[in-house]
Amino acid sequence: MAASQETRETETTRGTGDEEEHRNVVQRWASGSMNNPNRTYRALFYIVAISFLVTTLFPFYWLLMLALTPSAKLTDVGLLPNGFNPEAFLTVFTKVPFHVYMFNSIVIGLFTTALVLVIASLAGYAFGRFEFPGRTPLMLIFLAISYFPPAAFLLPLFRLFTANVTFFSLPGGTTVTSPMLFNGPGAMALPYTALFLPLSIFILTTFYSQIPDGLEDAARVEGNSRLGALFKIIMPLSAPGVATAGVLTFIAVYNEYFFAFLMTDGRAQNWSTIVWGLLSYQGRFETSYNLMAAASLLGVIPIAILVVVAQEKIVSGLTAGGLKE
Amino acid sequence: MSTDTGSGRSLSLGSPMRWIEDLSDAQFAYLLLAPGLIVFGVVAFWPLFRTFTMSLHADVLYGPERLGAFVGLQNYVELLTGQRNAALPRPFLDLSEPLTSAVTVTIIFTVVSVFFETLLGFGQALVLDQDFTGRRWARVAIILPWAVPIVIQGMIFYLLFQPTVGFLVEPLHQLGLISATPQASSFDSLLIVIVADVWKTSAFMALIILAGLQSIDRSLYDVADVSGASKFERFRTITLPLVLPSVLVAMLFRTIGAMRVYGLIDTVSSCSTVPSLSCLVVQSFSASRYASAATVAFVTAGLIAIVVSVYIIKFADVDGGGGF
Amino acid sequence: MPRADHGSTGSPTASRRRVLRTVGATGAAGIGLAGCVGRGETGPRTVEVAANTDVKDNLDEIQSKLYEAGLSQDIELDVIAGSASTGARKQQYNRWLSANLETPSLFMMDSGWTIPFIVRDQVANISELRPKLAKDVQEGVFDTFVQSLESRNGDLYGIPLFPTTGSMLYRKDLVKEAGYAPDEEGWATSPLSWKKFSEVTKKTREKTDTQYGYTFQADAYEGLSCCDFKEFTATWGGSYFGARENLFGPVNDRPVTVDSEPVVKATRMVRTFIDGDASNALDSVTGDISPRAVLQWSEEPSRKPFSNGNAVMHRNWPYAVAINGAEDVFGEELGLMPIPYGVKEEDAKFDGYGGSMSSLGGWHICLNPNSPNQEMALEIMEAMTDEDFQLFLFEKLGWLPPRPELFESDRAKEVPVMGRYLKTLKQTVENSVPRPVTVAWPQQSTKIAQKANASFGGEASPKQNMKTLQQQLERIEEASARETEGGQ
Repeated sequence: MAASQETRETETTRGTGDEEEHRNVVQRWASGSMNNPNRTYRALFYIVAISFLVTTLFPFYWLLMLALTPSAKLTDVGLLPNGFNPEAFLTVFTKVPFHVYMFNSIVIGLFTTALVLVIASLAGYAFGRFEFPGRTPLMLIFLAISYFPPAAFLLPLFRLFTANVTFFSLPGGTTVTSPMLFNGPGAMALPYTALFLPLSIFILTTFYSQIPDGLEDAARVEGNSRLGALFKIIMPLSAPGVATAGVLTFIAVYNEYFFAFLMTDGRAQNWSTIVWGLLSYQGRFETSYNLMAAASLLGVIPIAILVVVAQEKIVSGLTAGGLKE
Repeated sequence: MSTDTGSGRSLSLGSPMRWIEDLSDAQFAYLLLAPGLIVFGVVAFWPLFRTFTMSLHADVLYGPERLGAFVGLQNYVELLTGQRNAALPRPFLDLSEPLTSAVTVTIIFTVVSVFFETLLGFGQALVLDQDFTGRRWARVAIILPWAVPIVIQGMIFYLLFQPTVGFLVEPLHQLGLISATPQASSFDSLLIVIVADVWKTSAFMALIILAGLQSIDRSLYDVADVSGASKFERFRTITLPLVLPSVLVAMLFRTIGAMRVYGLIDTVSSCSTVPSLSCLVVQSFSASRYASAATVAFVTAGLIAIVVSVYIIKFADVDGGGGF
Repeated sequence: MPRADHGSTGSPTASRRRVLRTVGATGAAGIGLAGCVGRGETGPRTVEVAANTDVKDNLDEIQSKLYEAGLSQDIELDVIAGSASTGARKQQYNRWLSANLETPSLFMMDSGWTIPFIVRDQVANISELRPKLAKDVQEGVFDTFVQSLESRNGDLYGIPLFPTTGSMLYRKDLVKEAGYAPDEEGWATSPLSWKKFSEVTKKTREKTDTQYGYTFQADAYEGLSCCDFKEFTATWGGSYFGARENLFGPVNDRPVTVDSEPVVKATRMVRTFIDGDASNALDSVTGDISPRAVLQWSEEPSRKPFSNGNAVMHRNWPYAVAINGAEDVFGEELGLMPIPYGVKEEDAKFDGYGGSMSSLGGWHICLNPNSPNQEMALEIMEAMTDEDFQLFLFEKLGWLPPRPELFESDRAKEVPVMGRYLKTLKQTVENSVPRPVTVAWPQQSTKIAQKANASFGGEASPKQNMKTLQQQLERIEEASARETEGGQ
């Protein structure tokens, strides 16, 4: 294979060899590249790769420069900071209880992820392994939820979670109303579950549909109940899918903007997330952009760790899940 | 796995388990779907139903009531024929000002953004598909923007293009790409929002496309090399067709997301300068025009449904992501 | 091809279960833990107030001053500091009040958007709950300021907290260097004409080699339509809706007058300030005194150059006076004068305009009608009307007292920095005009800001832009009238 390729290449070089001495450095390099395309590709590859890395990482670098700039010198922050003020990373916690906001974000993320994974696993199993009437319409309906801007859900949900919706009246004169979830984790976790379920269901459906048929039957023959077969045999096989769906859901919840802003009053003790945390750096007259930048960098760290740890898993999860036939 | 005989075990099941065993496949499937249906029912379908009811009533601006009389589909008619434009903070669709009417802005944003992020994401995925030292860290670096919260992503680009704090306005203005006051211009602001979006979402595309690339059998490449195909031919005949399904799935999800853009616009510029459809919904709610807001929300969903069905119909023949 | 990987990660069953358990357990534990760590439980005698960071940072002092003013010692305040953006606060309060939330009991509301809340019955009627208090307030407070707290039939819906007005800050030292005599000519109380003002600015800038002449806010935001542009037009005798009595409506039953001659003239003037060679330049003023960057400036970005010593003139709110008049900035070299005028009051086209005019802003305190703590909240509101308390706020936070007589008091004169400018400040409040807040205003404000900004920047002529704006505003008036929308 490789040998025949080489033979072909040397044949070409021999033909043009006599003219080589008459060329200058550039022409020689050019012809050298033409004769050895791998070298060009290699160089091109590195150029492209490095430019991707630079454009991707530059905003983070700039954020760091911004964070290190002292408040008084916050104009024209360029490639190097105008001053050096690493205390900003400590001030972020004293000015605003940012650690509480981060804690809230993480807990709500975990809670929602757990909820989504449980529901999506069951749903994915049902969609992926059973043919039943209404399967495709139901899947399309679930997908259709994601067509709506989050704002479409807002008003009724806001009324629902602020105990404004009366379900029914009991004979004694009391009414049963919806719970007061405003300023609590539920007010965010529940909408998030509905918003991010479609994607997870989609991923897990794909996974489950590719587990070989007959495994459940084999399990049931062996004496497992239906649910037993599901939990003991089938679910473990979807572990990569669950990991993928879990990580993507957590990232989506952590990053969310709309409900995070609206479902609490902004105080850290009321389960406000980092969205409010960052907004509370807006001071009396001016916004402390350097503190916001420092807080942003700190806020990205949990997710960055997650990405580092899980990136292998996500990619292999999506691969194995078969984004192919 | 258990080696007990089957019958002995099943007899010892409690009655709920027994009942489950006796369900047909379809009924069992619906049982499994029940938690999802309950959650969707309460948190998604019911609110959407209420919002739809809102869109069938009239706006009320005075007095304590929030909704007016029942008017049927009048809101939809007025919205789609442009009669409602004066009541909205920005026109729904006004072809004479394409950069400040919701439908056109949303479409321009979606098309340009998805195009560039697919291109960039594909490029990044191709790079990450190769084997080289430090690949693990390159992967982390390229996926990292996807992990950034919208509020932070918005802040970064807002500040970069803020004439006093950032440094990008001067040089780009000299090059004639943007005006000296980008936040005042709808065109410039739209550009900045697109750049912010592409930066983050090309990471998502890279992720999905990389997964697709990784699942391509390497031996196919070897066959290509043997038969003397150039890298380009190899890409065109092997890579592209096999990775197309992943690309399309990613594009589908991103298109849906792009057409609903709101948080990014709110943090980078403002809903007045770059009015997307979701922006229009939120602003109408804020102006206490609940019925109009609900109408725009449903029309937005309708538009997205149309776009999605175009995807599904047109590309259904390309064997797409499993499940459908 | 192998799909799910069985072997490499150990027993898949166990690890999968472990992952799920850990995730679920952490989530549940987190919630449980957080619940136990009493998250902000408030006592029975606590009244929650939705305000801003100023109030939050100084809560202890404010509370003790309220006790001195007569508030029962067992009532405590708890502050929710909202977003710094006034628009965001408005939307937030609208959401909360529409959902009938019981807390916070008191809301600090911008006088620019209190009226929509009154119209929607979302704030409590003080004239009904405490008739005597309401009457006292209505009589003692600046007329223009209390207007934004009243309903159409004259009932009061809150307690005025502090007014803000626009005024012109300037560098006395630079101006003197250029040969002018601000103190002798009495600039603090005798407004200049725009003609003279622009001359002075240009000459001072040239003589002292200062970077900018006149900095103000011209970004396409609410602050332009409500305030800066309103001042420019009002000082030329123009207005958005004709005579002054039309400010608060009735919507669609009043003229729209943005294409009138004084408004166009004022727009041309600002265009000239930015670009003296513009095709529509106004000859009667000196041009090229403002940088193009004003088109992107709101309050803070426009203040910074002035505070850094790079501008001669600066239009802003009283807070900027407190900052720039401080010893470590300009101290006594900070001058303050009323906004310059274009035509005199008697020559104004529309009734109630002309002469030096300032836009009126400021904040009120309103009561949540759903609050279970109404009695306590009303006590707090009553304590806030106390003279000493209001003077304390003036000292501490630079909040102008809502009562004209307090400007004359000795204690006010002793306040460092702000005490030097009492005459000018009082004058600007007396000559202030509130913004035309109606249900149509939010949309109209956006359109006005866009067109004004476009005109200043040279996108189409002022006349054209104002003509388009006229049509746009008329359409909005129609769409917001009381009688339309399906019979209400």
